[in-house]
Amino acid sequence: MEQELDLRSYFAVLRRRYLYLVIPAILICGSVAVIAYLLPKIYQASATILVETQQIPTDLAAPTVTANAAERIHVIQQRLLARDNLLQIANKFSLYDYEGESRSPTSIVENMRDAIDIEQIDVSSRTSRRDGSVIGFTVSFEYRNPTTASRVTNELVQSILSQNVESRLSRATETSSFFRSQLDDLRQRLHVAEQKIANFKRDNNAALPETLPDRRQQLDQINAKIGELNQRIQLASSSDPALASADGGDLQSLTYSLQAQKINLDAYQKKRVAVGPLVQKGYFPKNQLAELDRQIGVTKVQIASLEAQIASKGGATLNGDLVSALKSQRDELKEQANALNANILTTPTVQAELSSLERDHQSLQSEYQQSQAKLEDAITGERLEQDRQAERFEVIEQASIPTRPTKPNRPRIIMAGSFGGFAFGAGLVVLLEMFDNSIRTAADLEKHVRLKPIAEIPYVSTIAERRRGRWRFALVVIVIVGVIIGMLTAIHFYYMPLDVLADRVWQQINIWLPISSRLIAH
Amino acid sequence: MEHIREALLKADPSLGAVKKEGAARSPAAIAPEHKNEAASVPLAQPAWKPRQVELESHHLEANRIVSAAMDDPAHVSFNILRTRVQKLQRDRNWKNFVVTSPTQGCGKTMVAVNLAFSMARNPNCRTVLVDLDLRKPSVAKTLGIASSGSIGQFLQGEGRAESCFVQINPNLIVGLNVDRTRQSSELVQSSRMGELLRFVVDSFAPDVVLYDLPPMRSSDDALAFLPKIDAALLVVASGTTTVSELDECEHQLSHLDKLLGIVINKSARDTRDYYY
Repeated sequence: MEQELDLRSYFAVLRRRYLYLVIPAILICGSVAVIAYLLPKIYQASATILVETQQIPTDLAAPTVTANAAERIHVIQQRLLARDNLLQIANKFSLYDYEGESRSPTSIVENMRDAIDIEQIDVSSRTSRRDGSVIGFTVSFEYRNPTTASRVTNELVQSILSQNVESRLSRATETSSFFRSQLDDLRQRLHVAEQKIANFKRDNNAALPETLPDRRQQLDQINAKIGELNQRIQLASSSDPALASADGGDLQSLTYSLQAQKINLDAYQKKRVAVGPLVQKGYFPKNQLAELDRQIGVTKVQIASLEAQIASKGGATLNGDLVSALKSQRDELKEQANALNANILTTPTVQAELSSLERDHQSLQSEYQQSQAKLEDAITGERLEQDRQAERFEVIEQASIPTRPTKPNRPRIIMAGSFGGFAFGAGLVVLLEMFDNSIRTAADLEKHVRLKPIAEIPYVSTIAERRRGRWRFALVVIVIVGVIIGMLTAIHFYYMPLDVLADRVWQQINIWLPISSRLIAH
Repeated sequence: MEHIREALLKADPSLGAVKKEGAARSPAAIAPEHKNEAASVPLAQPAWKPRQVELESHHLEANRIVSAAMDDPAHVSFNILRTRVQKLQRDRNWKNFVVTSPTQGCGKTMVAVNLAFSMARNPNCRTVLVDLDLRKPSVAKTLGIASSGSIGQFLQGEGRAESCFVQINPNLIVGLNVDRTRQSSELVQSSRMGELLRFVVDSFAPDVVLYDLPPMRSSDDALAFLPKIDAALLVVASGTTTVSELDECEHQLSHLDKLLGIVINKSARDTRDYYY
């Protein structure tokens, strides 16, 4: 009962206020339809670009540019949408130059930014989610002229491709040149370090740690010699020439061999003397005599050399001389030993300094080697980019000239308009009802003043009013029928012939029907 | 046949007069069933007779007076109103009623005229309708009558009371007004008003007097007049009268203890309910 009453009261409201609902709906819907038809047609051309991953496995040849495709597309998009770039394209195709109306560069740029759309195609939804890799993207441009739209789109695509290649190449080149310069720098530093070590070694030649054992041995030998010398000095100063000199043996043997030679010479000379008469008589072979003469000569020479030797040794001369000579020799050796000792003491310090220098050198060297490896990688990357074998963009669909405008979507606009119109009308009715606090029914009266009406008199309509009402109804019916006929005619001539439309609708319905009834329908 | 008639006569003795006087006295313009009822009551007491007028049926139809012809089903609702008013009238011995409304355009004149017609159809109810809307008189216009006098003029001291009244049918007398006056409220409270009321009672011996008053919110006429009468009917137009207007008028009437009832006019209720 309550619900029925509610429905009735809604119906009464509708009857009372239908004009507020219908008139705004018709006005708004009509004006929206007119606007929808007056809006310029806009065509959208779009091209598809595929992001091809590197063909050579990345484990074998690592690319230098490692930012993911989505990020790079974003970067390129930002560059593409830069004001200068857009203005250049607008100039090239003389965009937005309708009917000679001049536009400010700012508005052109804004329009172009709205018209350009770059949409990424990713596979994250279907396959592995973690990389969310972008497999491609579409570039589209909207414009009033379909040909221009497609040409601008292709221009944009070209620009994107070249920017991609350029940026990749430049990045790879930059990387390799960075490592190159780093290597140069390192090489210089290595050189300096080496020089330093060399200089240091030269400066501390005597105290170098690697010669330490040699020097120790030398010191030992010198010390031994000093000891020997000391002994000889002692002997020499005890006035026994044989004992005085360490070389005594030597001198003695010289003296002995001198005596032996002198005896030999004597013997030879006696034999010569004895042989002389025999030779004259011819008893003695002459060649034996020459031999004998030669032996005498040799012996004489040997004696002379031995005498000279003995003289040079001087040992034979004076003991005092010998001692002083030995002393000076010993002093010399002592000096040498002192120098060696000093060197041996400074060696640890030198060693510490040297090892620090060497450490520097070593670290520089390892750094150098690492950089070299990196440079090699960078060069590989560069070559990949140069040969276009790294990840690259490939146009798989060029923008073609669109045949149908994408905007305005007239049916949708009109639908939205009619919906909006009805919503507005309904809102108006609701608002009017809300603000209307008049008494309408006995129930209202009871609610407000707690009195039942003594009588409720219906609206008394006159014959003239009823006649007018009938006329109005007839007029409304005629108008509605006329509008429907007009709409059908418009659809038939401007959108799609009605028979074709009916066929399509039937097909659509057929799809939704269950199979069994579809068979029956056929 | 005879016994039925006798039974009816017992129930209502006035029916007996139908046969005797019906044809002779009935005004020509009234529908036949009116004649029979109206003829039963003699109107001979006063020394003078109000001018008899004929009403045009289209004019009444165009002014929504349905209780005369009773073609429109809406007349049933006026009958219901009449019956309820008459019950109260008999119970409390009331005679003078006013019809008013919160604002203009509520159809109070239309309700008053229809109610008057409906009441006058009862032979025992001699009805007088007086147009006391001194600002915008409309009874004469509604009925389509040219008046020879005007209550407004009478109250101002010109003319005679007799000339303001016309007889529509034997049971219904209407006091007409054609003047539009500014000092309506003073006139309502003047001594001439008392004379008028006395004149109505004296000359017509009415069972019911209906006064059509101006809207309560447009002047104080109604308030000033209320003490002189027994009860008031408040006509409220559905969809026009607001809750606050109704509240105010109801409060004033209740305060004076004169509220007879509220009538909702122009209700959207379907009139087909009355076809029976």
